[in-house]
Amino acid sequence: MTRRCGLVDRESWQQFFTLLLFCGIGLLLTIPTARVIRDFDRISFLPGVPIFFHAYALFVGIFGLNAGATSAARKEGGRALVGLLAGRVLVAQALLLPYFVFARALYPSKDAAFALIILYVSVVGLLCAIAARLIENPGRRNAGHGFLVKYGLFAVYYVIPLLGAPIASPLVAVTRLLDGESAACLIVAFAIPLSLLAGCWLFLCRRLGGERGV
Amino acid sequence: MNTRSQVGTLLAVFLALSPLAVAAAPRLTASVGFGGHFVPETLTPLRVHIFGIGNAFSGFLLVTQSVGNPWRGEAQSRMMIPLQLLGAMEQESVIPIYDFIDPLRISLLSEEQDVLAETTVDLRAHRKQAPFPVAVGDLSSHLDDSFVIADSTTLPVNWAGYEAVSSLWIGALDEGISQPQWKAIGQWVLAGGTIVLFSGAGFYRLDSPFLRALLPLAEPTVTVVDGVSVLGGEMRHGAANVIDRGALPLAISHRYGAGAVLLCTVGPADVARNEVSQIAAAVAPADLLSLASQVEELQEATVLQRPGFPMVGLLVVVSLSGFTLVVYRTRTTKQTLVGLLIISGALCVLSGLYTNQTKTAALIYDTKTKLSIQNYFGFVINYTDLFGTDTGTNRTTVSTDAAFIQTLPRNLLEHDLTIAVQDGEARLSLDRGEHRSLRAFSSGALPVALSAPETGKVRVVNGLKGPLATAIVIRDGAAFPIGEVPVGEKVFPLRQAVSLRDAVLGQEHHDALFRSLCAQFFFGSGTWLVGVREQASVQHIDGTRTKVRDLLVVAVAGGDRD
Repeated sequence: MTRRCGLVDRESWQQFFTLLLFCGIGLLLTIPTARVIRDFDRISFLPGVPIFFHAYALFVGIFGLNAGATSAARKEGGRALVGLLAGRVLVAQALLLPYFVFARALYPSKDAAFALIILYVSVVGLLCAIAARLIENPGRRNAGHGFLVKYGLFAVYYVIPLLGAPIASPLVAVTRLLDGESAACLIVAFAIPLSLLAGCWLFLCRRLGGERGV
Repeated sequence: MNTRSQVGTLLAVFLALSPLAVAAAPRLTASVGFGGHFVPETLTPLRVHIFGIGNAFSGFLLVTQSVGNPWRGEAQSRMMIPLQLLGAMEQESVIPIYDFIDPLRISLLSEEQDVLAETTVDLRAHRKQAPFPVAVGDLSSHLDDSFVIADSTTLPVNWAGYEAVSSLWIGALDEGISQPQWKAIGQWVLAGGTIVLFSGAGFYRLDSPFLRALLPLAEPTVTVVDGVSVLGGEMRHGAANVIDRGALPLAISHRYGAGAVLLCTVGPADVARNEVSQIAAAVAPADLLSLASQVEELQEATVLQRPGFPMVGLLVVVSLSGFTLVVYRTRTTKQTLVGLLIISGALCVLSGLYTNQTKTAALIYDTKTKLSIQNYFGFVINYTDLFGTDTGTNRTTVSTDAAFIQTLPRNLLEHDLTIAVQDGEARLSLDRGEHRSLRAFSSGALPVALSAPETGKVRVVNGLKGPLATAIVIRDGAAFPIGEVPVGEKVFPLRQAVSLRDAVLGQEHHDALFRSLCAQFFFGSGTWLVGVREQASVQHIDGTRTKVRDLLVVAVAGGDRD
């Protein structure tokens, strides 16, 4: 395997670096600033908000978009494409594991919730990667157009549900998973990205089949 | 069989079954407070009479009350009390009453928790806004309308039931007061209650060992002076005449623990109305011993367990630089992946080692403070201060074998104040940032004893599981710090007396509790041991990681020669 087709290389390292940096900042902001109970909420930044998990859901999504765009730029295709995209998302998760060990000290007795969140965000990351690969058509002349569509859809997926169906937004879904919501809520939270992922997968298979046909 | 005989048979069967039907329909009546009077947000006696069940019946009483309103927010209190029937199928309990708008609902439950009977008590009619004086015995002609006249048989046998009483006036009684009632009155006085006792010719009808322990006179005897029966005796240390009638001491007062006893040396019939007014003016209202504010301070000063900022910053920097180095220093993808995974694994291990038990956040902080005062009466007050830190609901269980009440916040909108009490445990839940205070009043003594084997020495027997971290012996108002009291028996010489005001236990928060105790409790006579023990632990209560801080403040009277 050449370096150019690898899961992690110098060219794509910036995406991992950005993810690690912003999740690290999120982790820092999640730690309560108060030293004693008296100051618990008085001097906290966004008290009670699990900023680390919001940063994690947001930046893994962005990482997925970038990974998909890189894949398109490299004209990666064939059967290995989904494996490569999934591999990159998994490597990103592996690099974030030390943060999760640290975050476990902030949210004790929530190991199951952590596992579900990692699984959920991995699905969302892969969804974003495949969607970006679909949008960033290697043959497209206007790259800026793809960039706008990609981030526009990303904003729609993350922000618009907050107005009516918050569970559909990864930002809210991770909070619900952390709080240990009901099984029905859990099923809905996972069903949305999984169904979108299945749709994108089928679309990608058709597209790749078409490209091979051309 | 003709119609007439069929009707006759049916009637006979109905008549035969009707006593069974009556026997199978229990009912109950209930009353609260003193003559129905109570103060919201205090502990109040509840008397329930049950009819239509056998002596062998076992079940529960479920006491339900609504708290608040749509503006303040609404909550519900539910208490399940096991039946411990007294004679005449009567149950006496002490319950917290939080509000008065909705009636109190009392249900009789079977062991399977089926509702067998139900009654309600209207609380609006007899609510008082502040603690009130209660009088028993033949006193009504002397007293104004502020007094609640109660039947002596309804006086509670649990000292917690007197919380809403500002002073208890006891006049001439035909039936006297039972020993359990005297004990409860003595415990209440020790904890800060006030009694006014009319004696004279009626003294011997009231007399009991518990009463004698409370009296400001030792060796009390009734003598007749100018045709009036007068109680006399030797004045105890600290007792003083507060009202005289010529040469006759009419009212003698002394402090007893945190409370006060005022003895009128003559019977109610021999006291003029203006003298009763003078006595009333000399009575200090009950002020129950409380360490609540110190305990709350202690809770608020509790250090939060969490990982430190510098270590998180270091983790981020090391991760970024380590991973970047691997990516730029390796030649193949395989090497890169292996290097990244090794570094990630190493950082996971280091993070895990750093965020050990002492750095892992607790979801509930539980500060338990037990104040145990031990003398002839003795009582225990348990303070439980809870604080939730998790974003979800923090569930916990508080063991309670005693009457307890929680302090309600003004705003109930953001809180679920439901406490389900069952099997001696109170289950409650806290939201993030919510603070909850509970206080429980009970009896009982700890295995700590004090005696004086010889002059200038005390022997302390500590039967607790651990040592008292620090202790002070107080003899007739002078303090002797004795340091740590180990488990077992030890004799301490009493050297270097200091004034009570200058005595210190060593740690700031222990001293704050000690000073508060000394300000409220009379240590001026006899010998006392005051000790403090503190333990901290992390426990999983109801699956919730809870940091428990156990503080014990014990004051034991003793010091009599062996």
